Amino acid sequence: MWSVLTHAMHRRRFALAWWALGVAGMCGLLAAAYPTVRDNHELDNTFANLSPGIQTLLGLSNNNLLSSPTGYLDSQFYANIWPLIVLVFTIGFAAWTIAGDEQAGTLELLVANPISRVRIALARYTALLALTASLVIVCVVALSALAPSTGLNHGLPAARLAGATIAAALCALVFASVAFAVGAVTGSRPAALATSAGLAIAGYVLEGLAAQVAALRDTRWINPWHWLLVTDPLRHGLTTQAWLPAAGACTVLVLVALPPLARRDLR
Amino acid sequence: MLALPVIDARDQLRGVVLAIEVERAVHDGAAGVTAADLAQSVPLVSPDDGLETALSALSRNGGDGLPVADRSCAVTGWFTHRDPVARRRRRRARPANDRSRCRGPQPSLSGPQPPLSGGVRVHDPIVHTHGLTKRFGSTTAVQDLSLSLYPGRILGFLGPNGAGKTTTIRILMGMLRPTSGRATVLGKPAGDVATRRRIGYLPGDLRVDPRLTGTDLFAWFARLRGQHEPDLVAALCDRLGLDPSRRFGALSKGNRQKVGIIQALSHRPELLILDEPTTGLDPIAQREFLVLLRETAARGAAVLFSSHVLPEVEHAATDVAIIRGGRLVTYAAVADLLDRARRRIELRYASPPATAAFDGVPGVVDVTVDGATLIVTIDGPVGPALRAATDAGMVQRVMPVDDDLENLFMTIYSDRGDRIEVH
Repeated sequence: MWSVLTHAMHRRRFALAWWALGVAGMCGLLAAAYPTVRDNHELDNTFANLSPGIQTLLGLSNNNLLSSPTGYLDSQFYANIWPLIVLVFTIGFAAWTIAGDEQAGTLELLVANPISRVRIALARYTALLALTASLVIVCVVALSALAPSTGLNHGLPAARLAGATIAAALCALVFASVAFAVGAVTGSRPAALATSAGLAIAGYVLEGLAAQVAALRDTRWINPWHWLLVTDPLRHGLTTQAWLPAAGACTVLVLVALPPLARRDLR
Repeated sequence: MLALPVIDARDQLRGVVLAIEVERAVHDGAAGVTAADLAQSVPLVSPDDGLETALSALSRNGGDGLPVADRSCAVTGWFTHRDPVARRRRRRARPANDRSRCRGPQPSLSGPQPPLSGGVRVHDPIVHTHGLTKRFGSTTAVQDLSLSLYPGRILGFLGPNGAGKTTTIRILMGMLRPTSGRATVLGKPAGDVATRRRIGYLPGDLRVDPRLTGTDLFAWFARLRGQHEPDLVAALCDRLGLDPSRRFGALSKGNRQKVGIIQALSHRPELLILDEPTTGLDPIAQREFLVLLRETAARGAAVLFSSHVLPEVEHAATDVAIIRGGRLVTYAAVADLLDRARRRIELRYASPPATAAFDGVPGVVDVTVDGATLIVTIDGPVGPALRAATDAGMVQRVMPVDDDLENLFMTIYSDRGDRIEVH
């Protein structure tokens, strides 16, 4: 199992390096642009006039102004860009773990070895978590290192930065887990990608609409975006409510996918 | 005490064959067998009175005078499998697929009897399927397939595209679940995870991460199997002419196939399952590969390989299974199958022969004449045809025209829907 895990990570080592570079660059850009926003209070007024749905999606409110470090980071990074980065980074890998490898024909030779499909799937999901954790660490380290240069860390301890980074990554991981599960059960990479990406987009849109459309509010409890945005870990830290639902959903998705994977015919 | 395997010696002749082989092993000192072992073990083999009688005769005269017509390759294989000294001795004396020793009672398709020419079941089968059926929706890919593959045997799995060869192989490897019937491999249900350590597998459509080198792949699989034999891998690469340091994606089709073959052999598996293994190999590599197959069988492993290349099956396999439309239509020892094939004899006469002499002769199915040369095709005993040949004129030369597996294969496929029984 360990060798399958290390092989999977080894396979993505160059991709991880490029993504890490990109994330670090993104953090540098965020820090560099903050003084402009911080000093422009007009922007606070502009954003205050936006609809509640948009404000929710941006993680803004009367208590969380764009010019503040938390408002800036929430609206420009943690409520959208960062989960999107993690989503794109993880979703392809998650769809590859079983379905992509199966459709490419490369899984055939691996499963002829004395390792079960379930172990292969678990090893590769663990690799997915490890790769995501690596990206999270790069992000937290880069922000912690660069934010002080422009005062972006004002009143913002590194633990809260880490909490927000982890919570948003977990939100993306829920959708990556959907890709993993659909791929494991169906053996179809397109189905895995389409389902997970579709759910991620639909969830994001629904969360915005739910702020205005009462009928949609009942859907929020199952929406990973809601779990992230409503708990606002940048302001309140990584509370149980911020990580437990997402972590639980990931676990359930993985566990539900394994029995059908063990039983079904490989393509 | 020697632990002899359970033996299905159902008739006297088979029992005698076993007895003779055991006796021979005693004389050779193979596997530390002693006469006492024999005396204690063989009665357990079969309570058959005929066998007892035969053994009594053996103990009196050492086997002299008993029918030795039916030598079993399989029995020999069992001893060679267990004893390296005997294995070397017997390998020198006789190649693994020496068909000259495989003439005897022939298998029937009526049940999962092994296609061993001797018919002696000395081992549990390495592969055993019974009533194996696989459906994909309304399509039946494999239907009621029953076969057994024994140690030391090389089974050529033949059939046209879409006949169900790959489906059968993938069921044996656990990648597909049978709709009904059962398949056991090395005594465990097909797909058993731990058993895969003992199997070497080459898929029909070999795909490997293009960024991996051969060395990477062999090392990775060695870790998965818990068995790393770099010397063996290096020797295999050398024999097949593969540079393992190159990335898979940069290799030609033939060299990719070599990577697949080497990874299948690199852990000394007890069973090799190869789906069209020689695809893309150059003739030199093909020849070396067939030698490797024989060596694998000679150490007691079983080999199942599918192929479209009939001469290669004829050359390498001890047994052949022919599948059509998902059904097993023929399953027999290659030698037996060729024996069963129609015989053709070319006769050269001093002057154009009188073909009327062949009219109504039993077994003669075709006579063609070209000047003073006549070719007679016989289905059955050749005696009456030879008598007719001498009646037809002054025979100057007689030459058999060997039928090959390819002709036989075509015959089987032209026999619509009927099983070819080997009697």
